[in-house]
Amino acid sequence: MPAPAITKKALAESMKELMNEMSFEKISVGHICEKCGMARKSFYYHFKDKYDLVNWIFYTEYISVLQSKNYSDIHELFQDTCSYFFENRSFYINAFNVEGQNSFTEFFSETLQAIAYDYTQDRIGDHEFRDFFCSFFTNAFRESIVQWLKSGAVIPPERFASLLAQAFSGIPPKSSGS
Amino acid sequence: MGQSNFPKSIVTNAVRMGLRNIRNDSSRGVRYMVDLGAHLAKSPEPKRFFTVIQNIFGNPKSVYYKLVSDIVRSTDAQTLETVGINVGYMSWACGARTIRRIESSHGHSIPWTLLLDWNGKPKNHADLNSIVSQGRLLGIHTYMVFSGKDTGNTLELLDCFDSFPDCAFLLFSDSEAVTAECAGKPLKNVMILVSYDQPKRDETMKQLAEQQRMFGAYYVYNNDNVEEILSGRLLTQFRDLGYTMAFFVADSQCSLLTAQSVSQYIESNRNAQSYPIFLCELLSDIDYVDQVVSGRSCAVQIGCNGTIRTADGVLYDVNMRTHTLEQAFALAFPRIAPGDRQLHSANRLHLSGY
Repeated sequence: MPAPAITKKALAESMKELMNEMSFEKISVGHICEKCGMARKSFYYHFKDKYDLVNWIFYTEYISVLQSKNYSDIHELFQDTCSYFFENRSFYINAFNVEGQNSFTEFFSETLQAIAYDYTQDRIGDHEFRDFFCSFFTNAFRESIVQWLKSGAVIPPERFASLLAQAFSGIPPKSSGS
Repeated sequence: MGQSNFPKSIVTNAVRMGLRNIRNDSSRGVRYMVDLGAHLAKSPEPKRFFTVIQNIFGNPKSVYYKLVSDIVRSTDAQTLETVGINVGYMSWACGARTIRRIESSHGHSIPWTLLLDWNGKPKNHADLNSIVSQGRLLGIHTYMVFSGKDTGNTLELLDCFDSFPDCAFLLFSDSEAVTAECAGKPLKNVMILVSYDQPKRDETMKQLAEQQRMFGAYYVYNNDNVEEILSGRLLTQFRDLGYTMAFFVADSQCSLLTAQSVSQYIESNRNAQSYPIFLCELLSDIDYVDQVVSGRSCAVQIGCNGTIRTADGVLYDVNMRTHTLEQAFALAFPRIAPGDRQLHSANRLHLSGY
């Protein structure tokens, strides 16, 4: 493995362990470096700050999950996304506690926004309210994930993903017999 | 929604943020992008490629930091993002997967890019649309198009390119054909290469720079003018003119030996990081990617009259007006036994029209 990959992996592992031990706000670059025996200089050679590191962890892990598949529809993406967040829930509950500039919440929103624009391209093209729909999709999906994780992720990820998919494709009307 | 679009939108977003980082903090931003590419590369060859790039940027004094920074700061962000994604992700990741899948099931090789000579006559831009439409389905998302000096032709080509937003087009054009109207077209998936040996060159380059287009110079060489390259005079001139990208194209009279010497010279200058210029010897670099994707050379040039030319010469039995791309590839690049590879790689495509 090339040197940059080794260093980044060590810093990422260190961050993930710390995220299980203390709140994101209390974690310092010093803590991260101390845990993996790296110099602060090495950290700043690769990352701007601890936010940058969290975003790197998300990108590399999440894209690795997505890369292994060809998605035919957005429901499968929901399934894999929910499963990924469920498996790493303690890390992301912590990460989602931070909002504002450079935060993971903002970073994840940008990622969702990109997916939303792709998803709506084939459906509504340059519809005058496309921005509204994309923004709605982004906020609704992100907040649903956050609430689900913070409330203990009681609903299994597969079921939760199905509910999300159902909500996005339209809740079926009550049938006359029920 | 088509397959693989979700990963693409996420990678696009990563690239967008990466370019933003480079603008704010160029050195770390560059390393971040390269490391992300290395992480996403799954097969051995792309991994090796990214390891080389990581080693280059492991040198904090590398002139390539300046090169990347210059390109990012001077080029329209969306163009850089689109061309980068269409070459790096659509061609070299998704496209390569499609190519390999079809190669293994259909028993012939497919080139990763097509050289389109749209300089001669008769030309019909619907033919080009048809070629690119077929190519996309085979996994080809990068096209090198030679347009000559006809402005009308160049404008029509730019309109064609607009119909394929998930493909990248490298347009090799005479400087006089790239008018202010061409330079002003807000196409995001095109890189324009202007012929260096042209009187209006500087004026054209200035127009492209003002419009923040992605552009560079190309130099057609042969046995007679190769010394300009090998002596270092040309690269020094390019550097002094502030060029960030330079392509070298062997003409049809150029000997294999001359082409090899230029290819080696370019490669050694890239490795030595002698100039803050992205250098490319067109056919040998195309060949390198073909070797990675398909395990063999399969460079092909298609003329605007439908003729198909490979390293072994013109295929007289096939024409793009009567055959499909796949039929042409089946004939030109049938599956070969590993021992036969040398037969194919010993020859080199001679570009017609140059």
